[in-house]
Amino acid sequence: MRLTKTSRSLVAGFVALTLGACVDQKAVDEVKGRVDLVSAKVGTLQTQQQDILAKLDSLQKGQKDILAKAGPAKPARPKEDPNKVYDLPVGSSFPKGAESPTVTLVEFSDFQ
Amino acid sequence: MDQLVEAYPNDLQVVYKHYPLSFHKNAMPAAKASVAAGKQGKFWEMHDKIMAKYNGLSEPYYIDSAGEIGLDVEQFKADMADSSTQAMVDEDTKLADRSGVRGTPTIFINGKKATGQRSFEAYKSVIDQILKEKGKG
Repeated sequence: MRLTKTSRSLVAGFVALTLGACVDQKAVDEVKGRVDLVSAKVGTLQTQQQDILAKLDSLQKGQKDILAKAGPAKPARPKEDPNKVYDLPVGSSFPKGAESPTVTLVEFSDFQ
Repeated sequence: MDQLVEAYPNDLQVVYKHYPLSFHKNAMPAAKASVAAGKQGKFWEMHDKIMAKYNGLSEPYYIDSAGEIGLDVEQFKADMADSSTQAMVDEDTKLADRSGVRGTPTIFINGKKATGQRSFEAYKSVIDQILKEKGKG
């Protein structure tokens, strides 16, 4: 009775293993297929990434070239003193109004 | 400006200086037309003619205007083409560059740049202040 039970278990185990092996092989093939697919996609992505990095490098180089051509940054225009009084002689202009004025208003303008 | 000149007939002088912007194609010819009129003593008359039609300026308009304000038109045409007319405009532009002018219009009152509002009242208050300081207010 004991032996029979053992051998029955063995047979069952063997069958299960065999069946299991069959199922596993199928699954393994499927997984392998998927892994291949993913590998291929990763390969494509890697190639694209290399392309992107190469383009970034060339952009960076281009930027450096442009900056080198532009020369050093221009210093900011010094802030104007709002109280500065400019000497604005009438010169060859045509003034109107008072002949000996206390206040002279000079307008720089264009006609458009 | 006319309003200001009328308000202070004994105290205020107004001087127009040319700063024709290069991207305004009519600005330089207009400046020369006003100077050419000025050579016959009618700068401001031409100035007003030009201001009245600043959007439709042309050579024929200056010549018509010259006739209307009573200029010797042939002399006016000759003066417009004369290099001394151009030189007078350029003189103003150089002065502008030395004086921190960056755009138009830029107004100076007794040499000091007017940075506030561009209105009769704003200029009037600056002028009144100067007259007060000088004991003329």
